[in-house]
Amino acid sequence: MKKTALYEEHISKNAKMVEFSGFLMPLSYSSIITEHMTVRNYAGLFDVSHMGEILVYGNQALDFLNYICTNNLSKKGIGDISYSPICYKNATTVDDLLIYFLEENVYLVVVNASNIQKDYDWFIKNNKFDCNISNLSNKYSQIALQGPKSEEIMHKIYPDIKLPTFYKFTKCNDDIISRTGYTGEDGFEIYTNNERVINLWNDILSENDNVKPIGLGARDTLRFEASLPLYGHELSDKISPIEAGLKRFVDISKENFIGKEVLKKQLDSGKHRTIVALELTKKSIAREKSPIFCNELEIGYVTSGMYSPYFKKSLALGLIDSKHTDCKNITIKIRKNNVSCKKVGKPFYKPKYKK
Amino acid sequence: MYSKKDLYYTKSHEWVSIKDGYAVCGITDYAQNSMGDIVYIEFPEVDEFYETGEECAVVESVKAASDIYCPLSGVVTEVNELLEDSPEDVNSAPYESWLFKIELDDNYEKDLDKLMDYVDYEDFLAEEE
Repeated sequence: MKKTALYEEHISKNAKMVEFSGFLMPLSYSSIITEHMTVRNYAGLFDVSHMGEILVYGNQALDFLNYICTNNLSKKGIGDISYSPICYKNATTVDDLLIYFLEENVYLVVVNASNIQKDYDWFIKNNKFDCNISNLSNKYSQIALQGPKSEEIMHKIYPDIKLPTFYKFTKCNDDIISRTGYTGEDGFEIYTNNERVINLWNDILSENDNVKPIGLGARDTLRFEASLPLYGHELSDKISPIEAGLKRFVDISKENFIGKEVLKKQLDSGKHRTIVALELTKKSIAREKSPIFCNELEIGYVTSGMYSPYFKKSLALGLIDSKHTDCKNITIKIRKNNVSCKKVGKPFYKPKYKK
Repeated sequence: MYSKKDLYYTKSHEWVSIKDGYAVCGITDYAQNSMGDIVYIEFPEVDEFYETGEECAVVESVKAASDIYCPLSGVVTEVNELLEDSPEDVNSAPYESWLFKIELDDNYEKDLDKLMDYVDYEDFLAEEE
């Protein structure tokens, strides 16, 4: 079992620890609901050092990335960050990534913790370009400060720099500071080395008593309310980015990239499954894989379902056949009961990004 | 308010108060702490008979759904409807927030040896750690 550089900090705060993608991570320090609302109302600090970092560099680094990514990375420049899914030939998803344009021909790709080895192997396999790939995941620690007060706190931690704007990053000594996050709030993600992260973590928490450490439990409820996809749930090796509602990150006009043909067919025909947002009429929770019905017909399944601390309701994201999106009688089977739901707009929680 | 020392306990962390042929049941502090924030309770059916050890209710927390097992055979006479609006009371006051009441079967006493008293339950918890 791997541990992040901040493991002892979590233990010293009596965090409930869980195994996640081979790492021992904090599930919660106090309660998931309390931590969730701290991020919505104030600011919370996450240890996300389990995420992976792969450096892609060389004369054809951009060509390589444009070949594996569905998004068009040529539109961005140094200091910018792009989000993109990467697909198999059949348009299902290998992973979803952030790509940091560090310098000319040098990109830092941030990948999901559960997919580090898989992504690295995928990059190597598809590297028919003048380009090098290095897995630097062990060299980086990453923390995320998220919430309406995060900018104020970051000014105190980094008083001498201009903070980056949305989906951009800046550097300060050994740290990469980006205006990104996975909560639907304004916030920052900071990449640093495994030694410095401990002091940085404690400096941020001692800056203000209202800033609290936040575990993976609340990380999930926060991203869920913001309807952000989680690989293995809304995206997977059985679900395409089009089905996940991510067509704005698929540039079908791009010359050639893995998955283009099948993605184009999905876009042209409109015949594919789709992720819908559902509000249940009872507080019973629709867990992942619970079947979804339109009248008597089974039309799909729940990809993520949970209690929403902000809305105080049971909500679900589900993958259904798109021909049933106007169904007026949707139910989810929870144990022996069929609980009725209504379809609501995505995202459940409107993001508060500072753009 | 049920005093922990007067209660009986199951291995699945339910507590039971027995008086005059009726039992009142809830979940222990250990159970609520391991579940985390409780958000919904699926109560047993009122007027339904449940066997000792039969699944009779579900407590849903943010992270998981936990089955609750009937500690002693009998018919459920009442469920704690106040918890419908504030299921989180089970977290903050597990020994006050009873879940359901049972009219005990005539020969419930034969199953009493399946339950632990307070001292045995504390020992049991020490082994679980």
